[in-house]
Amino acid sequence: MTDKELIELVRKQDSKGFETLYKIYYKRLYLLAFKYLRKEETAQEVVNDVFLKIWTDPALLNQIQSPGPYLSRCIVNNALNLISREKKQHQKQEQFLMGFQEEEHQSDEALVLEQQLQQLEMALDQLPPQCKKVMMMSKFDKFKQQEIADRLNISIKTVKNHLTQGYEKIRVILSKEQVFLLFLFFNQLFR
Amino acid sequence: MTNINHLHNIPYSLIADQAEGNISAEGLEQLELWKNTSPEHLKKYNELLLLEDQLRLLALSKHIDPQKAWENFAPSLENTTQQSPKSSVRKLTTYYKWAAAAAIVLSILYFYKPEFFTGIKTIRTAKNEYQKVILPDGSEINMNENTTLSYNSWLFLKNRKVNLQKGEAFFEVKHQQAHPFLVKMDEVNVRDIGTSFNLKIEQEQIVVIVNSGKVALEANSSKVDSVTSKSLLLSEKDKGIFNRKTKTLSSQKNTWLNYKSWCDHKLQFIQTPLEEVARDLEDAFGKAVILQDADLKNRKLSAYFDQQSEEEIIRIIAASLQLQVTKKDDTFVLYK
Repeated sequence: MTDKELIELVRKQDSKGFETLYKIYYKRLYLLAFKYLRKEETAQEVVNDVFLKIWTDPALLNQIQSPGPYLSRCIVNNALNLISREKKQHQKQEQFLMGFQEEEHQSDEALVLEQQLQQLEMALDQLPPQCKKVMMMSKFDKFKQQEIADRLNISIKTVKNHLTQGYEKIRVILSKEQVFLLFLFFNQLFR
Repeated sequence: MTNINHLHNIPYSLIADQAEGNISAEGLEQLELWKNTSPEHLKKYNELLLLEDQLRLLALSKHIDPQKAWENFAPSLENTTQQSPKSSVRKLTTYYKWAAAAAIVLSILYFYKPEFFTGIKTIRTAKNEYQKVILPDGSEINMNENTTLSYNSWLFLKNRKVNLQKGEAFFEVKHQQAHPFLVKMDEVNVRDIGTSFNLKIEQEQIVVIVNSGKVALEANSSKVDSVTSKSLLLSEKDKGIFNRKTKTLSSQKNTWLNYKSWCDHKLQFIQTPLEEVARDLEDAFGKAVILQDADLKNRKLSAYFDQQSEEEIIRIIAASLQLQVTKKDDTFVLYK
């Protein structure tokens, strides 16, 4: 199913189509919302709010060709609105939140974020096994350096060295990756 | 800190400590110092913060379960928006409304126009009501008052069958070799061989008078088993009678000239006693004619009336026989 067909289904209030849209986009939109809001619960609320509005007012999708950029924009707008509301700054209008003019080249912030995270995961996979393990324990399992040292039966200095090595390697891999992506991008442009 | 001077001068370890929220005051001071020594350092620091952040998002993404999120989210769709369930409910109820409307229309049709479902047309005439029916094959039926007949309009051209339930009717049948014309009654059938005839169901007998052509009067064997003769072939001017009490068929020459005057309004009298004239007039018009004086009964009348009203006819009779006539309600009284 293409994005266009999916949008058409949702516009016709097809519940199966809506569920599909939700499941495809939920993860990346949630991450995007979290990136702004830093609260898991609020992030989830923002995502659900956006989907709810689309469901209750399918006309919002009338001008939309591709759901990705639109949904990303909605998430960002809603997240920013939430932040500003928390700061008691009600400058943004409700209408603006869901209103969105699709331009020819739309950036899809959630998609960009998702791709960045995929690259990061690939970079993590390229680390030496012990280094990767320490990085994963530190970043994914949220273990303190001392805990990692205890569990892996290594010194805290070794843990620090692994972390340092990990950061450095990922940074290098990602910068190479970015050059490669840039190359791909230009390749696309000048084809 | 040896790390600061190695690996492009980036204090990864301090940044890791900070990310963990476990940085010492001394470490934080060193980190701040490093950040502020050059814009290049600050840029690197920011890059690493971004990386740190992305690592956290990546960690978070491992716990995201869209299926579970959907299961939590879906009920709120039904509760708060009610758009989709409502619209589907609305669709359903409109569907039922239409179905109910259709059911009502169909049952009304079934009640008032059963032929809509079966093709069977039933025609009834009330008192003083006369009706001419033209059948699908072009045959004609003149129905007298208080008469009921039915036929299947769908099958009629293949199966020319008319049910005469009660009353009297004059049939003019278009002859078709391949499709005989059958009039079914409860106890007898009249099979026509291309003719016109009058059929009357009376309390005690069923009478067929053949106007032209030939008909067969048959006892319906499923209803009547004690009939001695199962069928009679009747020709022009013949009168066939089924006696409903004795269940017997008989035939005789028809002497009654005005048997079909009720439908053609033609009355013929040849030396007819006035008593019979009065009866024929009543039969033809449904209005009683009373002879006030007993000796009027045997006065004879010869006359021919065509398409005249009853009142005209009565006045002509009265004039020709030198009688007086009065009209009381719907009754004519003849007297000297």
